[in-house]
Amino acid sequence: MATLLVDKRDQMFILKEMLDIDALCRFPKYASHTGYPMVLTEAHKFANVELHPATAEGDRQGCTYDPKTRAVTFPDCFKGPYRKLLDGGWLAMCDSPEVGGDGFPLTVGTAVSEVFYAGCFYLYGAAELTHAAAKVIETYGSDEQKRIYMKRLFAGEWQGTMCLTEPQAGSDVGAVQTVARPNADGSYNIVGTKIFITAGEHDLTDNFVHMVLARIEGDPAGTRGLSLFIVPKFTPDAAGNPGARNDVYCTGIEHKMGLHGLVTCTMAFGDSNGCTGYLLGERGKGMPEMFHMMNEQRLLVGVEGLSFSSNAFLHAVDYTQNRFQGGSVYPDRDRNAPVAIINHPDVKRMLLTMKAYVEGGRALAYFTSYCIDQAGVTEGEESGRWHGLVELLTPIVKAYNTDKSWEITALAIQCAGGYGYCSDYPFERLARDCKVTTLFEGTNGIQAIDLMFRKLLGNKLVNFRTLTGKMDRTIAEAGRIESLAGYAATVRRAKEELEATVEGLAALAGSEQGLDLYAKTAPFLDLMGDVTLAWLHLWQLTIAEPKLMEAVGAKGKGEREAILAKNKNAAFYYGKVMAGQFYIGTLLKNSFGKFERLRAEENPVIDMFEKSFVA
Amino acid sequence: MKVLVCIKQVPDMESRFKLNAAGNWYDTADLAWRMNEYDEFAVEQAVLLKEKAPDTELVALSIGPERVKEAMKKALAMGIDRGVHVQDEASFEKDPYQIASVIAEYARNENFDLILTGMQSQDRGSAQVGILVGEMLGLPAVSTVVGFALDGQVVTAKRELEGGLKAVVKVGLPALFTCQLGLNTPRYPTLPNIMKAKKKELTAIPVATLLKDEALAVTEKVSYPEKRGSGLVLEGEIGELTTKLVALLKEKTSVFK
Repeated sequence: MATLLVDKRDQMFILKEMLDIDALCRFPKYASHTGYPMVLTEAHKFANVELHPATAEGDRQGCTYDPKTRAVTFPDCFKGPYRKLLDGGWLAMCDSPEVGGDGFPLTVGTAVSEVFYAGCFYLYGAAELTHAAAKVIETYGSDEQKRIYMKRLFAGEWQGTMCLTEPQAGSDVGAVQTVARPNADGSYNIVGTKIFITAGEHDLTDNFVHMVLARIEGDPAGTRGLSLFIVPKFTPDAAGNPGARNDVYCTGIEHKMGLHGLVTCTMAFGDSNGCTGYLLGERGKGMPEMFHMMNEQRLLVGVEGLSFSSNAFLHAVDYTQNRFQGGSVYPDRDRNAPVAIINHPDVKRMLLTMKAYVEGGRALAYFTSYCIDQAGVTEGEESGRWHGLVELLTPIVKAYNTDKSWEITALAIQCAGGYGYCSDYPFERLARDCKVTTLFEGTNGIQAIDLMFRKLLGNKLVNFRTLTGKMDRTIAEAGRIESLAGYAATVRRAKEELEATVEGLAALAGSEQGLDLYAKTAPFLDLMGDVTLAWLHLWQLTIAEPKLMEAVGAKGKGEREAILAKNKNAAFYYGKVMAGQFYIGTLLKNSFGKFERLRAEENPVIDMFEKSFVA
Repeated sequence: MKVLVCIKQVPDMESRFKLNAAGNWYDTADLAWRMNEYDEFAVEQAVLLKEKAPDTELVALSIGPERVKEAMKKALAMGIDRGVHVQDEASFEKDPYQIASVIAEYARNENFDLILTGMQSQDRGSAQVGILVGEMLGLPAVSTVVGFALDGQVVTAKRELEGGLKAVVKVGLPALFTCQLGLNTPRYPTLPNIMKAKKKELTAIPVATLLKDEALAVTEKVSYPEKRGSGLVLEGEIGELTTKLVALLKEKTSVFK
């Protein structure tokens, strides 16, 4: 099936040839998961046939809110695919069989998530939130809470939500004003308003389980005083079936630039003073508990960004192959015959840029999930090192892949010219929809602060050195392949500059210029993403280059192209090698200028006075 | 009840086909494979029967090289109980008669109450195998089935005929049916069932032990369709265009005759 969602061959390259998931499946924990290629095949089929057709209609129709009934309606075309998604058992594929899951490695789950997000961001986005809520209850819930809520959430029968943000408490979560007052029966009376609640109300599920951050009356200000509560829409009866209507209502929905098919609600808790919530986990531990959910979501948002990039890239390739304009500038072609614009060097440049970021970003996301899998099958210090890599890479997966999705969807629009701007093609929708991923689950600014202060300096560079150690091994291996030695040297230079920059930042932290760090967080995350992708591309080159050589050897252009035209596998490796070489040999050169920028001693950002922005 | 479902693995029809070196079939390198679409309807019909009568035993059979196991695993994941893989590296060289005789040879002593096949394969498209198996086993065979209802030992089947006509036939079991598109909606294998499928029995039988007959027909040569002339674009005002079009239709077609 021709698919313009995600390149399955590239997914298999990363899973099998790069990360060697087959070796992971030799651990007893994953021994029964050797059949993952079939799972991926079925995921692609499902995403193409069931999910993707709902997307354009979902965007066009959008979600509607009825102020009289306070009900939200999803587009009609969502019901069938949502049911089939749940029936397929996809939501809990990486969870323990004890909770109804199939225990797949998360790396495989990440590959499936990329396909499903690309298929229909709206539907899978709603479903994944439910999954995240189930994971929090699995980790922190009482036996009774697990019995009543968890399995239904893992099965997707009820919708789970994350209720953090309030009008005055966005990035500053500690400013939450929602209050919880103890009831005599041990439950709590919840009063407050939450905004930006994804899938807070709709007509696809019978019940909703809101995970609400609130402050028990009298508890301290700031994040330390926050506790996490389960607030069901319909309070389950003893048998666990939806019972009495709880006092939690959707009071309005947002009108947004994109994401029309996934509703964003304002939720009022206890407007009539009758909202009952149940403490989840420990009092005052709401933030760390919520972050259990948040970390998983941040990785997934990075995958969401990737899925938009992938979708835009494949559609751009398809469009430019079928749009004939102008003659070829290549001397061996007829200048007067119109060619598909994919043959024009400037269009190739855009496509190769997209390919390099998509395939690099995919390697980044899958590798991070792979680190989680490795942490789960190893022990002691080794497990700790894998876990440390997850900590370090999570903000980069989230922010770098989503920032790039905005750039890549823009490039895809550019490839299609005026048509790219029209809604007859998916490009403008992808650009509108992807932007929210730079804002979801902690804006990318917050991710950059997390990387700089918590993950890098707060960790005293320990995890950073684990990562550069891995880079060193790849650089050494690539250096042994003659045709890659030059690329290995470039990546070594970038890695060494990164190390020097990080040392410089660490020194700055204790100095008078410590404030400068706050102006450097986002540029640093961007740069660390650049260098991490360079390493991952070099790693991929060490696999693809020898395989390409096997297929085409050192043949000239004509003979080589004749082989590539016939041999799909050789053409794939040629594309991998070109993308890797373009990234390291060309795109990465920009990063050396970025290093210079980070080293700059003067800092107008810090010195700028707030009254001086406008006259 | 014991049911046999015959399935074939075929290339994804959106593949770019190339001829093989001998020029008598397509080149199998670089192709993505799938279960023959018509066979998916057969598998689904079998699984629906088992859902109503859980003691039904469902067996899937496929002939071909190692890779056909992938199609069989899909059938197992959809709900078939066990698979029989007839190993044959050269199945593409066998004519429908030989393929049918291999299946009949396997089925002869297995006492199947019901045999389901696809109406035809998407690659060869001969639409003969199912009917031939029925003949060889002395079973009634009903082709191009778009409706299927079992009551006791009698099946009421709806057949698709030319021109949109349908025929309803009643057949006592044992019998064979070839399944046409639209008979049902083949299910997606659920993840838990994909996992379970790996533990299901998949027996291998070398084709030589079942092959008794010579081919009746040999594919000498396959070729691409001849390239046809490009379309004709008429230009001009609407009235003028209509005149030109009518003249062309009169001259080159039988529309106005």
